[in-house]
Amino acid sequence: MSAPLLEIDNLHKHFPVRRGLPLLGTLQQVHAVDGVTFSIARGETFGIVGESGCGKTTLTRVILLLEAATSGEMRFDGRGVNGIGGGALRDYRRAVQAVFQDPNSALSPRMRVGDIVGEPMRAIGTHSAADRRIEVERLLKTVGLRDNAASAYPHEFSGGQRQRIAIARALSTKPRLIVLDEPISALDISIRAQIMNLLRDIQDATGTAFLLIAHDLAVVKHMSTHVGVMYLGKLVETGPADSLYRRPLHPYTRALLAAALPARPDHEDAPPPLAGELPSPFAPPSGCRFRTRCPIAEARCAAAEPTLRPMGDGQSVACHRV
Amino acid sequence: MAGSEVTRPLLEVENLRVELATRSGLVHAVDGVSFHLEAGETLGIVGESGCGKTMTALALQRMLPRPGGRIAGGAIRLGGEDLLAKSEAEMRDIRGRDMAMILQDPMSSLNPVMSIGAQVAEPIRAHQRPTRDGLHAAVLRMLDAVRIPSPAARAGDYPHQMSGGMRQRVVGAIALSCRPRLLIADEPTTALDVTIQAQYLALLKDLQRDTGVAMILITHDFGIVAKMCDRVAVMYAGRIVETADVRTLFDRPAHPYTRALLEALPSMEQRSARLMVIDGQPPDLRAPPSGCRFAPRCTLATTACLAEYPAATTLSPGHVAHCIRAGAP
Repeated sequence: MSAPLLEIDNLHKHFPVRRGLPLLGTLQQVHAVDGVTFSIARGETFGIVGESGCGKTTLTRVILLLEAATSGEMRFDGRGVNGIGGGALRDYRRAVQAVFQDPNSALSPRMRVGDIVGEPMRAIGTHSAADRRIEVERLLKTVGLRDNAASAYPHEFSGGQRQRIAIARALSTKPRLIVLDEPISALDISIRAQIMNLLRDIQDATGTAFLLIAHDLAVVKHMSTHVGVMYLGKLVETGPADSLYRRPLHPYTRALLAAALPARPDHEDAPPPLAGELPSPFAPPSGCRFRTRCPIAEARCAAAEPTLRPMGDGQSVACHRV
Repeated sequence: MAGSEVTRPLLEVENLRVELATRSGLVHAVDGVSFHLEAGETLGIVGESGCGKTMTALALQRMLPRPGGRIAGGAIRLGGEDLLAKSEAEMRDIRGRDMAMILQDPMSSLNPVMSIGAQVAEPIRAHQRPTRDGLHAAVLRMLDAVRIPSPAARAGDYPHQMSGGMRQRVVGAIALSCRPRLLIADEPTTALDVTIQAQYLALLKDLQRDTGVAMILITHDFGIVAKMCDRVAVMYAGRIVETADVRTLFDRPAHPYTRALLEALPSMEQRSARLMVIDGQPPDLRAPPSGCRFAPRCTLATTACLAEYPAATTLSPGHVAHCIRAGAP
């Protein structure tokens, strides 16, 4: 039980981008993910928070093997994932599934729901057609869809129900990890609660681990056992959700939590915690990448890059000043 | 209604009805909505997709989608003047000068081939006929007011050269350039990141303090309501089901729908095992039910709820709920 399910070690993903004139401009590298290290334990939910451009979506695409890592290592269940092919690759795809933000773009409008949910089983050839139908019915029931849903098309369902279809498909290969990329942000409040409850029920029943990407800090807190905070391609803080929210250590984590909207009207009206915007990813600041917006930055923050170090309570933080 | 002329609200909306003709039938998107807004006040209109909050906002400006959208009844008075009696030319004068709007996506409000300075200048030129120098100064003043750094240098920039947060500031500068009395903001920060959202909401509050503009904030987010609003109207299926000042709404929500929404929110303070959910779907607004529209999803509903639409129950001054059980022990 102690070995983590997924280990990410010093992962980098750089994209070449031509800036300036076509063909004549200079080729530059964007460091979308720049030395990220963390692990996900079996059956837990690891939440990643961060603003647009922090690299959280690129990170999930590398984990899903939709992008090749530039460098760094990934291990799943103790085995290396980099450069795998053949049967090992099929096993990995079966074990790691995904649910994305927009169920409309994730579900083919021309396929019946039963075929959508059964497609992964068909592709990996684990079930006969008859077994597949039985399994599809079971999955649709698990996610709370009506009995005859299998013969309907996606457009006959509401947004929340379509997300249930996407979840049923992800479950069809009995995955050990599901990457949830903003799974509820396109849904209404009352529907969000239904989907969050469903995901928690599935985790309790199957022990599936989740990697949750979300911008809503309350949602991440509600769902996650561990949380990582990303800024410009780097993890600046990780730790158990409870202690990280109770005692945020990195100035960026603190600013992010302070910027979250209040749960009630009787809050103190503090000024916005962060001035300025994200620096250009083409020319990230030297040293600590957060220093240009950091309220407590000093000279050494420009000189040397801080690395994640353990701070007790399972929390780690990359900051010279903590 | 304490109806003397001096205490008249800035905006009065009475029994507003909006219909949308669609291929699948006539949708009663807004079906008898009444509210008012005092000068300098911020009213939140909160509700889920399809509840009619955006159509209400568009109707106030008489900018419903065409063809198909129309105001089917009711009254809208701004500063005592009946907006539904105005000609299209008169409405053009009123929009931008007396009332302005900020939408969710700044790129849909901005012209991609016009510099931001020219776009801020447009309403000022249309409504105030300034001198050339006066116009230039007014544009820089507005860009400075929304805290665009070094406005003189940025005025020649185009929208694609700016970040999402900066673009939304430009939209704010355009909206407030003629000092309107009413600003309608429809999900103004939904497309922005958390820290940028905090900056923008603080900016809106500062601008309101400086100019005294009244605001209607259309949102699905109770966090924005808690941070920004004085009063709140909760909409469901084309109607306002509850109105209250913001503290009362969070402390003593009276309508089962409001209560269910607040209980469905995850909290940063406590970790609860499960969230409350609202089962079912909102009704089809092509043929809305005659009784309480929330009754089919309400855990407290009785047969009496299905008979007719519940009348307003006043629970305390300014706190009104449309539920036959509201206020019952």
